[in-house]
Amino acid sequence: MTAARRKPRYSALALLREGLRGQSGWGPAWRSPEPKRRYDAVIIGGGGHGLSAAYHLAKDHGVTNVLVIEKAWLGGGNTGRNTTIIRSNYFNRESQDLYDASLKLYEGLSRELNYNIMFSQRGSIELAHSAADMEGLRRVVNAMQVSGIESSLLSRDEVLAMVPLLDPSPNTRWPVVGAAIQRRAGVARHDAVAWGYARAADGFGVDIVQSCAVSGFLIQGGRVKGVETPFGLIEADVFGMAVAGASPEMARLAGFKLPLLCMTLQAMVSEPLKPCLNHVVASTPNGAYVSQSDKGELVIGGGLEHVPSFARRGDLRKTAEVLASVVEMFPAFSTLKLMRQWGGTVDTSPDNSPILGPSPVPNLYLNCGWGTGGFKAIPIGGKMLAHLMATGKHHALSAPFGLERFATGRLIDEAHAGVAHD
Amino acid sequence: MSDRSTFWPAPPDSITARIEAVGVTVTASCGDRGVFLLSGSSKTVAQLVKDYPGTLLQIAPDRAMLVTDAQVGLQDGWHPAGVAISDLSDAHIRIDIRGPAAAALLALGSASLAIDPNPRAAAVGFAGVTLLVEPLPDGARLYVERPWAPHLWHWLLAATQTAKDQP
Amino acid sequence: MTGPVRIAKAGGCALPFTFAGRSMQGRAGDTIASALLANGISTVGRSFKYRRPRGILSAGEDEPNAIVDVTLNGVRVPNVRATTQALEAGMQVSPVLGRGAALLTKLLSPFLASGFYYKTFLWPNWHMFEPAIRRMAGLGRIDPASRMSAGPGGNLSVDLCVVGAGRSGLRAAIRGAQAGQSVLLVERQDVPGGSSLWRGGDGVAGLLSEARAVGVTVWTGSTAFGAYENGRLGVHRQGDSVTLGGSLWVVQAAEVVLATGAIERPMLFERNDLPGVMLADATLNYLRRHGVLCGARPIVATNNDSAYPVALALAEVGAKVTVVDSRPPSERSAAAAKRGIRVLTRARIARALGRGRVSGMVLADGQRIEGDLIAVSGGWTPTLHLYCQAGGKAIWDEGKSILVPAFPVPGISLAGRVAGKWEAPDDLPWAWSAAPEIPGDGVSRKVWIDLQNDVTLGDVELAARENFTSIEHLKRYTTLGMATDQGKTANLLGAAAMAQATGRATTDLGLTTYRPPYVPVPMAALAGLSRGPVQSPLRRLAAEAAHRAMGATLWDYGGLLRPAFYGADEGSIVEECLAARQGAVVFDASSLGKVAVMGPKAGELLDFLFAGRMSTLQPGRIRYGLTLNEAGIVTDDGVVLCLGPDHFLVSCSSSHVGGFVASAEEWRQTRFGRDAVLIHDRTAHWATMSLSGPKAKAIMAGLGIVGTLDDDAFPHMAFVMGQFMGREARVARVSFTGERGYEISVPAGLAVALWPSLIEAGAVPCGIEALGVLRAEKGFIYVGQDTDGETMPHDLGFDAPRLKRRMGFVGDRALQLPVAGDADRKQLVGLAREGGGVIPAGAHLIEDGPRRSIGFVTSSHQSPSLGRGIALALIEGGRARIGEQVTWFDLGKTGRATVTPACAYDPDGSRLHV
Repeated sequence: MTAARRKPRYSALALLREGLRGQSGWGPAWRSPEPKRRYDAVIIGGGGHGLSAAYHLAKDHGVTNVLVIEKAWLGGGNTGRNTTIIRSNYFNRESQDLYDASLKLYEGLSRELNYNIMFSQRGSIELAHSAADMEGLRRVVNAMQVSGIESSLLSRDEVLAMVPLLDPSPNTRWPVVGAAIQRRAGVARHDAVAWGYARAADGFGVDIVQSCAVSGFLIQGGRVKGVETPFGLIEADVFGMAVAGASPEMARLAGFKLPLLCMTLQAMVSEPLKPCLNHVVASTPNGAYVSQSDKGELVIGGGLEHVPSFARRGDLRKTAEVLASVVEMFPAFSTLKLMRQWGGTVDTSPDNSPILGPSPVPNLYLNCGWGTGGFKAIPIGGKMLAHLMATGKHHALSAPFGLERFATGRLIDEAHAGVAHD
Repeated sequence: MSDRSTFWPAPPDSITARIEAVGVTVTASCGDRGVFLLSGSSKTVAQLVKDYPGTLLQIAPDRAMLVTDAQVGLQDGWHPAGVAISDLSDAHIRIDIRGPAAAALLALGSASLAIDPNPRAAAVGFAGVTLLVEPLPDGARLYVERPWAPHLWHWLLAATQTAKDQP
Repeated sequence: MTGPVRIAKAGGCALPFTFAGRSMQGRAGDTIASALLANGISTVGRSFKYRRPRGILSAGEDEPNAIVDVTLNGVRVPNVRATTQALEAGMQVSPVLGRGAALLTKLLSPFLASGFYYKTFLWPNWHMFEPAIRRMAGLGRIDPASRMSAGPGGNLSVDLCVVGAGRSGLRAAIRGAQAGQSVLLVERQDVPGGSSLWRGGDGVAGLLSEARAVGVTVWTGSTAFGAYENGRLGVHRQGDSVTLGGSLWVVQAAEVVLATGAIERPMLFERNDLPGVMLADATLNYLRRHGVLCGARPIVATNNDSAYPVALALAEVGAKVTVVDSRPPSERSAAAAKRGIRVLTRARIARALGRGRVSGMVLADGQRIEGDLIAVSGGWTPTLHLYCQAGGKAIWDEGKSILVPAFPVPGISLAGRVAGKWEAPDDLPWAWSAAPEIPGDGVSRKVWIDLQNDVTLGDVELAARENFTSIEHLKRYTTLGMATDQGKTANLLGAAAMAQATGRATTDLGLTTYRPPYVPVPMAALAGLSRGPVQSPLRRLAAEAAHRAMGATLWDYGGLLRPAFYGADEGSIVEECLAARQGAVVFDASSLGKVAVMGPKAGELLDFLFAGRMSTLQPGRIRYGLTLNEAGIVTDDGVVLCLGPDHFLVSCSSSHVGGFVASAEEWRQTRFGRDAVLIHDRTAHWATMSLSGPKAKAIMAGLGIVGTLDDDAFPHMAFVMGQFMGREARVARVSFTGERGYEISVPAGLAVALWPSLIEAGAVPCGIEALGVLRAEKGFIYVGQDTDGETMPHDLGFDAPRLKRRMGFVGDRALQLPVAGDADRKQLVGLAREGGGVIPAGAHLIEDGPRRSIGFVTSSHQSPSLGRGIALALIEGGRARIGEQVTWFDLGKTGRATVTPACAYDPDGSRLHV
């Protein structure tokens, strides 16, 4: 194991010192090396999951001779495009174990990475607009409580007290009947998660190479031996892919198929406002969700576009549909303006659960299929991929999510996991 | 959950319902027509309907809807000539939108009608629902399925009550 | 000191308003910004991070500083851009950001460089610091009681859409119309003319009348804010007041011409964020359009020729103008000097002077120049946003010193300044484009690039030092370009600064992705008509008027508006249940699907779609069935009626009609053949009233709809045809309540007559709530409520599809997988709570060691007929547990219950024949 090349510590003291020196002493958060010909491990995809995997390979398994290849700029895919929500309010035990482990990692992540990811555990509220909705929420809240994960139901009055901008009238399209809340859930600064992992991994000696696309695989004796890049062939003992919407194409290069449908998911922000919304608020029936960033912007998302696409833009009518739902629930938002709108390409699986495990081609491991819910799972997704790459075996938490479940039928159906699922 | 009969406006009486707005009149009607959905090759369908005066709305190459005043003795089901028939005489409310401002109102409801007010295929998305369009010289007749008719009517009310100070 | 002042006496009527509580006057035609300048206001707000005073920079949508909250007629609108919002009488205008702790942040500013918050706030955790940060962040303030309405907007299809009604846009529109195209010309400002409105130039009036004469549609106060897929443009048309949201128009254009002009760039020098530093073009705009002189002693600082007409215009009205031109002397600079203007060439600004506002500047050579306005022109950035949104890419052309499109995008062309073309206003050489000049080493780093977000040249260099060197990392790390102006005056400067800091060419760095909307668009306009009951509508019943007349309480049920119960309150549900078992009830079942499957292979298709054979069904008979997906999971249940050997009617659940039709069509078209089977959705044609109870047969006899009711001729799960009011009716003996039942289907127009006739004949009206109890007593499922994403037919007690190993239907192989045979699969059973009470639906069943869920309660009610609580549940190995006790868990409470068969009432089914 090479000696970890750690980073100078970030701290208030360092800020003080550098403030007096005109910021001249800060060093690069990560290097921009040229890749070597060979590594112990190569991770394809420099987003949150890929960078987290590199970090965990080094930290959990002592594997530091690692390359992360990113086709554009690190953290620029879905990690930089999502609505930053972190929660673990899932129904199935396997999902709860996975996502709550991720939430727990998020809780200590800023300190562990020495990078403030601004995780604000302000609570995630899921609204009910009918008695049937409340029954559905009760089912999930009880599932979580049985598993020891904090969650509770809120009455209509309690919701309106916490979220005073919600329309309290029963004569609105989405009357508030009650809600479920997970208080440990919240939002974080999405770019900071990628940057924090990148800096820490780089500190261990991991090479991160950006603007470098994988154009093919070298497969010998049925095993992946190398990747083709603009820098030429790079060989390694083991490979992992964490490329989200690009997963089907990456799989095609390696000669197999994945049961994924790639759809555009939009996100949008309002102009910044003084604090007016202190929780994440979501409505599964209409599909919209909203929170307020620490900069003051309302961050809004909705359901998937109806037509598969890789354009990462989205249709104007979908934007309008999402905003109409939000304005109906929060009538004062009718005075606000949409400032910016974009999209990401999400890879959705048949049971809305991720795919973690060996690919059909030996030496290549999969981390994909997170659909609309990948950001909350960055810590655990990376940790699981690292475990697979380092040991060749599943971690207990990732074992239920292998690709083979679509053949065995042991699905983990999370159709009710969150608003963005169809 | 409280009573939603206040929030969801009561459907209008489809016989008397009428909207008068600047440049456009909207009326509704139902019944008193024979309406038959026909599936089969266009030649076979044309052969079948040649004796019935009325309108044939083409929905797809192998699907058309006959609207006729005549007494039609067509039975539901599969006809050996190669046509499947369904009596849909009560399935729709007909909504007529007519007047110089009709085209703009129709375009508001449907981006495809904005592009082509005389579509070859009669089914369009309009105000969030799928319905059939029969172009008229001064507007169009919309055939909306009964379950969606109250929504369409209230949408037309909202669309024609434009505030003068909003373009 | 001087500063801005109104010099033109004549003008429109006076408009009183207040700013920060102070009463002022503007006049008709003013923007809020021009009115503020006319009243001598220099500082209109504060910057986001350092709370430094900010003045008005520009006269357009590129404005980063003059963001205000406006209250008018009791409506508060946050984050209004003062430079583009027309002034109205009675407006109360307030800056969005006050001083705050300006002194403190000034002292702390050396420590608050970009990204400082990533490097601290780690102990104890972010929550300790977040509330204070949040309170300091944000711009405008939302008023919970304010509402903004909007117009409906519309859709428009044109051959040609021209964006921008300056000279180039007008010419392009006229050309298109003359060629026979339908043309829409969209202009953001309140009048057409573009920059000629303040830069002058002949012929605009003539072009405008020519455009109208050839039939061009001209929209003013309208901004094309986004280019979307398939040639669609989003256009926002402003309302007549700040309190109105305007409307959204979606324009389908076969061709688009962008005549969107260019945005002037500021220059970079120390303290370039002082109030009194303005874009040169803007000062000309304020002078010519609003009669406001922004400074009596202006210093026009420039690196290009476009600022000279500005200098001359200011001098013409008596201002004492100094020109500071960074370039060598030229014909143009000499001509200006001849007109009495003091012109300094090869002169570069080092820093601005002044406390709170400009009082002069110091040049690089040390010279001090006195002045009360610095009008800067650092070059021009073509407004390529819509081209980029449509898939284009803007790159910096070193040779031409201007931003250019890298490649053409089909359907979009450029005209005028956005294409790099600017007609010279006179005979002198006209060099209007220039490269950004980034101060070199040795100059203070307190040089502002993003004025709203307080991003300085030092921050860009810090980002470079920390290796955030790609253009997207620069943006996200420093927040350069992420303010409400989206970096219109900052992005290119930031890219050039990063290029210089990293020794690269600006061209190689590129620019960040241009994201819609080009300017912020009111959410009310985007929502448009989609408000209230018109948003996400429900399907309605044909007999709704009759239900309302009977006082039904209506609830939203899965996309349908249906009667929940009749009677004063939920207590009537009990009475409806009892009436169903003791007398007769009628409920409106019209929303159930009626999908006709016809043709030579109709039976084959149904055998394929259902887990159970339907092709063997005889005419006049009915069979219950389940549809599965390819994983063997139950997707719906329903009954199939056989009307003939090639004619079936599928009655699927109300909420799944569309799904069933889509699935049937997909298999028809891909597997069975379009001529072999035809699918028609007849649901809307039929209304169905379901009569149920021991008295049902007597009531049917009285109605005379069908000829015979003899049970041998008309058994359960059969149907006969009849007549109602002269039209064909169909009566089917099916039951969802477990009592004898007759589903009477008539053409939908007769629904409002059928319902009362059943009531008059003695049937008690029954809503969906009571129905939910009655069917639960029988163990009849609601798919999606009593089944989940893993439920297979045998989990519900329908063992045949798996055990018979039948093949040839959707889900066949999945039923034979090992997972389908697991002993611990969740199976549908009933539950009886210890003590007879009701277990809440959503409760789980648990076992300990360690504690885990073994299932959950799917439906739960108090049963009036049985006098106790009944429940349905999915429990692991449920059927083997029948007779055993289990523990239930609900929100921390636990209790015991006995597992029972799912059917709690009349397990023999004898009530069907009573």
